[in-house]
Amino acid sequence: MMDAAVRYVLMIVVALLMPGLINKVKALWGGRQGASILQPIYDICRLFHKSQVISETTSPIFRVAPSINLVASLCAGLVVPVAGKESLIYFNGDFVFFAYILALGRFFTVLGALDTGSSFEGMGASREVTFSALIEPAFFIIMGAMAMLTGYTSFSQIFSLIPGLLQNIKINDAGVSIAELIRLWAHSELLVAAVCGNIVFLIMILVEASRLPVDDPTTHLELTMIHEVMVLDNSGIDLAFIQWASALKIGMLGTLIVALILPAALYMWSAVMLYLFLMLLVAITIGSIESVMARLRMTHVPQFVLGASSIALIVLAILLLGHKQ
Amino acid sequence: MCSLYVGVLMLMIGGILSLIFEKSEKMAGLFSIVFGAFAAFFIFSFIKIPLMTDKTITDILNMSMPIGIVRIEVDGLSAFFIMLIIVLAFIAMLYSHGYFLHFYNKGMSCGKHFFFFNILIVSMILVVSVRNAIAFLILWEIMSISSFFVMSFHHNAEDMREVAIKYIIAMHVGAFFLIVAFLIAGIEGGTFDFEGIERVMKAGGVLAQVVFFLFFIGFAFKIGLIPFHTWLPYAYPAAPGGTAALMAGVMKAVGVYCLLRIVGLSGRPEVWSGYVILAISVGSAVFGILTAISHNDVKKVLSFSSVENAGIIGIAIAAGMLGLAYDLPEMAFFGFAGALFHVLNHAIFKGLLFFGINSVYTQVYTTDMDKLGGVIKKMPMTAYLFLVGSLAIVGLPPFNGFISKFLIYNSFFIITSQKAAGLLMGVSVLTLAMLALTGALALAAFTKTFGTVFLGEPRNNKIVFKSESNAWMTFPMLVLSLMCLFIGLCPHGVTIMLRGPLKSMGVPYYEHNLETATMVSGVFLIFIFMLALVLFIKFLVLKNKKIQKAATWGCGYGAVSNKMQYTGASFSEPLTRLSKPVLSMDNNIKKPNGLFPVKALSYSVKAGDLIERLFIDKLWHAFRWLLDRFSWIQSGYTGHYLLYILLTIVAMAIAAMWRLGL
Amino acid sequence: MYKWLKVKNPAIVPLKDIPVLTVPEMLEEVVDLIKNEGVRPLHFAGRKTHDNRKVTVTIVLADDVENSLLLSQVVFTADDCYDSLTPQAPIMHLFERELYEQAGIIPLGHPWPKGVRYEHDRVGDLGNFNEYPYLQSEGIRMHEVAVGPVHAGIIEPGSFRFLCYGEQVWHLEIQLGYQHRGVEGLFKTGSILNKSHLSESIAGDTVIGHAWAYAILAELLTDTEVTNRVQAIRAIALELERIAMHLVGLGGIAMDIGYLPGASVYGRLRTAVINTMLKICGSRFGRGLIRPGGVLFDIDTALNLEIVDVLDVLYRDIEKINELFFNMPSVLSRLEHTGTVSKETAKAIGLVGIMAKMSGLSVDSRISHPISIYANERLKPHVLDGGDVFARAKIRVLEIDQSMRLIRRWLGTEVKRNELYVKPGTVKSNHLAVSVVEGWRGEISHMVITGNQSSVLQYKVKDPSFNNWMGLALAVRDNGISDFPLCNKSFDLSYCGFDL
Repeated sequence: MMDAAVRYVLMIVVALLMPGLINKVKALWGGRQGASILQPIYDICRLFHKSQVISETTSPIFRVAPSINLVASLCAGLVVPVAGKESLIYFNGDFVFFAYILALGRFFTVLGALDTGSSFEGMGASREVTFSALIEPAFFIIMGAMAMLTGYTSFSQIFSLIPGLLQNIKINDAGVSIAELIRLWAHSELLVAAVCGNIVFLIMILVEASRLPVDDPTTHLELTMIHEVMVLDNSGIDLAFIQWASALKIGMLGTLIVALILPAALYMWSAVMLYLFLMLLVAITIGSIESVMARLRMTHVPQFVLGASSIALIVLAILLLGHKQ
Repeated sequence: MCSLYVGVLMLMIGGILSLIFEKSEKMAGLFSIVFGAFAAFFIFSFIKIPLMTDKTITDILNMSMPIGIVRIEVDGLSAFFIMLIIVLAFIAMLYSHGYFLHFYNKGMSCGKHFFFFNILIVSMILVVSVRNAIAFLILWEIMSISSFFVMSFHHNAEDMREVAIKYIIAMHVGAFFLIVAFLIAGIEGGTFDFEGIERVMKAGGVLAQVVFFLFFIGFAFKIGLIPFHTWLPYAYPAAPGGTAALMAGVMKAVGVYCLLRIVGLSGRPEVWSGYVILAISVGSAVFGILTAISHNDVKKVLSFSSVENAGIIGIAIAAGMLGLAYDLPEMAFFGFAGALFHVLNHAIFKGLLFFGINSVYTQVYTTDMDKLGGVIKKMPMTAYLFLVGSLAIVGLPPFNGFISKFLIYNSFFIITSQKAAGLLMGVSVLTLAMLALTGALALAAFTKTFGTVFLGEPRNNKIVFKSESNAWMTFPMLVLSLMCLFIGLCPHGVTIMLRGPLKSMGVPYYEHNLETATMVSGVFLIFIFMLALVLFIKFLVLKNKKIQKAATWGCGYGAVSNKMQYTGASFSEPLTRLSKPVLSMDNNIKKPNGLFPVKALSYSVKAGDLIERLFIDKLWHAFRWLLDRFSWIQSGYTGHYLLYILLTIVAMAIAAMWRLGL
Repeated sequence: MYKWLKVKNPAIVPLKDIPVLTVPEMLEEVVDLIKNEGVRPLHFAGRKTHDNRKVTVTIVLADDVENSLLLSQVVFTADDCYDSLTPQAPIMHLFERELYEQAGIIPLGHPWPKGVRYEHDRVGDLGNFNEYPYLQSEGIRMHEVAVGPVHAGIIEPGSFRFLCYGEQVWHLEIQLGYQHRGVEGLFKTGSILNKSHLSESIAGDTVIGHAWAYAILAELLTDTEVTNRVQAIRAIALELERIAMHLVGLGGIAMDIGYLPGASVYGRLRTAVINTMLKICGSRFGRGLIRPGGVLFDIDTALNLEIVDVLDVLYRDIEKINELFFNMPSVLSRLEHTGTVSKETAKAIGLVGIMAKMSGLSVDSRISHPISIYANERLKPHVLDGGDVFARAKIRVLEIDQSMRLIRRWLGTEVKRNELYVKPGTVKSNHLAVSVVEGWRGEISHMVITGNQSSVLQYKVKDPSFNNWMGLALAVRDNGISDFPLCNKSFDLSYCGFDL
């Protein structure tokens, strides 16, 4: 229990570092030094000191929405397995809970945007609900396929078993070292399925956290924004909560990507080290994708997102074909 | 059983008194409510036993031909639905009274309305209790006709008649299927009691399949599955006051009861019938929610959302049937439990949503969301309670919608722990994805609805709100909201009520599986606790800081108008553009040509129902074309009609002579 | 048909030599001429006579085919009206509105009788600045998006009104005038000879273009001859400015589609170019270089070699980034078929400069009205079909290439070390002078009319943005609203050049 709590805090800390890492990677690609990795954390702290400007058009829902969004993200993190071991809370079907509690946060973010009566924010809200609706089926197909493969329906249980299952090796409680882990993966025929699953999660990060090619987080053009423009009228501590929640989403989905590769039974310290290393890799990947691709035309984004669903269907097909009954 | 009869009698007395006192309209409503309360008391004390324990209460009535002997039996399943009916009907009665306070002295008859309302409730309660085909059909017909009258409250409205006629036709087409099914079952099974149906179904073979699907189609009309739903978006918006809740939630429940009863009588279903129902339900869910997103009238959005929820309930029933067919008892358990739970939840939150929008209607006589805006400032109570309803219907934590959806999700992934057929696994995963898709689309639909109507600035300066609604209208909404929250936080209260119904269907009840639901509500409590903590921290941080008020960021423009706000139609435009193949939308743009347009640019869009346009309208036109071929028969000349009579007599004479061998 | 005085760019004529038309004659003539291929209005400016009872309107048309300018005048009584030319010649739309605002002459039947800049001392008053009559929308399903004047990024103020349904833009209308400083009025104060700083500040990114156009006028008015050396330096500076601003455009387009390598590389290349300008005259944008009578700085041999080096590096590096940028599918899918302006539309509203060239019209005053050293070059215009953002990006690449070759040629030729600066003398009275310079956006034209005792009666400035803003409004119609910033950046028009 304590162990899981420590890992949960670790995930939150890593999540707060992720935006800074991604920006650093983008800066290095662009030939610049870039801001410090801790800059987003400094920004959040700075916003805590500021007071707020509230629009007269808004209702109390606008004031409460960022808090609900943050708490929803924090609660979603409760079921994510970090560095190979179980999460703080796990039960059958917790991935459904994960998706729906994040949807609760999204619901209130959208309402907060519509509350201001601004056409920019309405535009961003409209795009947000469209794209997130399109990415949901992909997530569920992947999780359903994984559940089918492992016979379990909880994040913690699914992800702890996958690497071992692929090789049909029994992983005993003593644990597996990193070298053995690499051997496990190298011989796995179902590597394709796992890679595709990771691609889907990566696309999910790009959609949920509004990264290129879905959205440009550094753009100053309100007419093209998705997430940035929904929070145009938020200030002070509300804005801090929003940035924190956004960082959390990257962190949690990154942790899921890592969980797909990391089996449960690694020795404790190697698990944590490997986790941190893999999260760094995720940040570098996202930063690199952002640096080499241009932003998609808004009408092409749904096709991109539905592409994720197609990849998920490939995973399902592979696993169904391999499933003997 | 006595209590049940007394309860029914109370309702009828209440109705008749309302009719007698219709001149003094306030009294009409109050009589109905008082007697409704008595009825509720009696009925509650009655159903406690069959619902909580395993006992069933039976009574036999001897009625004259052609009905014959009528068996009235209340087992767990019937008790569950009776409870649902009476609770929601009573709450709807309270709301209707408040609603009608706005329409007194306007030539509408509240007394007649309450009379038919009570008849409707009585007929519904009896429909779920009788076990005789003929009695069932008679009560079904009474249900249809009384709901027809109840719906036509605003009978002076022009399109009211079209709506009412569509409704009555749809109900009777459905009834036709039911009559055929009951006839076949009765004749083949030897008796018109439900035992006859049981015999036919358990015998299996083609006949059982045909009968089952005839029943399914007949009940699908009531439940609202595609393509039998086309009357729904007309009927639900037309229903005034609390009736909308009754029709959308409770009548759908009655349809579900009937389907579950047939499934219960059928024993082990065929695999393919489960898949067929699954396909129809998935189609209903996706089609329903996509069409809901394309509409801009709140009541139509709610109606199509009912189609979506009918699909979800259908998916759950299909899961149950597949579980029975494949011999996976856990899947069957979760499927049917999820269906029952969702029916109850749906009645609650759909009622809540309809109450909310009807409250808005009493103030401004419109429910077009692009004419409204910023209503939360004028009607805060209604707005917040509507928000609770929206959160519940999308299935978001910590409300009841999530729990029932969670159970349905469970039914599809519980099979992973058991080795099941590849086809079932694949279909399950895809169904999970479709459920997720409809959930996310429901989020789009209800953020659009709530956000456009209640938030932001008013879009039409001519529409003026007088006040918040009266207590008769807000109290029922409050009760339903609290139910949503409590069921979400403490689902145990409902799950213990599922034992009876599941037993009467022959589905095993797995106590331990429901523990996940309890765990989930535990997490909800953690969520609420963390939220309180965060809000408290925010309060502390902001305590000594000044909060400035300003206008919404308008880029420094000097003359911001209320047109510069997103409309509901624009909000859903990306989704409607993507789903154009399954929608029916009429666009009308008048773009002034030329480089320097002067005339205002006008654009209007009207959403419809694709299935209605493709199938019903075409069928209707074809049918009318066919009938028009024969319109010459109605020539209008008396001489011709005399000739027809003569010809008929001659034909009969010839036929008689031929029969007699001459 | 002595209705028009035909001159070559740049020209100075005595006022009395300019023919005076009657109003019906003028209307008929202008419409007829504009129907011909290649005739466009440059100026349509009115000024009040001393007794304030009459308004003299000077008309300058550019004939690209005959390579000449046509001058004429009309005299109206104050507050007179005439039948608007716009229905038959849409290219006159903004000129007529401006004439009304500045001189009060009413164009009857103009489809868009709206204010242009809402100048402080406007004669034709069309109400309050905040009450600009945007096109209205009917229908409760549509919404309007009002962007500006304050924008999220640090760009100039302008107000854009979109009529939208969801992501689809049905109509865009642009209102400018937020940066009106009264430039034309300031030119009339004091001597005409000390207005270099003012002309350099008309549009901060077109310093050389406006400064040169003004200097030509001052030199014509004082009969000052400048040497070939001066012409060469001025031309080199103009082309350097063109290269630098085209690189800004390309970098901006890359930034707006989120293609960060493009934004970084084009930005770096531009820095190198403007640093070269810094080496030449001490200002990265070229301020303080051109004065009436010559230039204040020289390009000696050492600087010559440095500039050639910079151009070599630019040539090499821009090849690479262009290769990447123009072949990336994700980039192309954003640029192609976005914000298209058809050739007919471009011709009808009279787009100039790169905006004309990108939709298939060959409009380049370096070729049709060449000044000084350009007359010796036989420039071929780069013209692209397509009219979309891709064409606008590609045309910049082609022009950069062209400018680089021109600069190399001019740097390479051995020019005698002549005088760099001659102090100008007295200003002629009662003359009209007009100059046309091809700035990097398009054709810039200044016109001055002097009265008695070298006083300035009127100074008219036409920045190419004056012609092109309508093009942006038309390009965005029927596009997605999220493509608007890209279209705006691809046009890259001057707000203050329009606002004056």
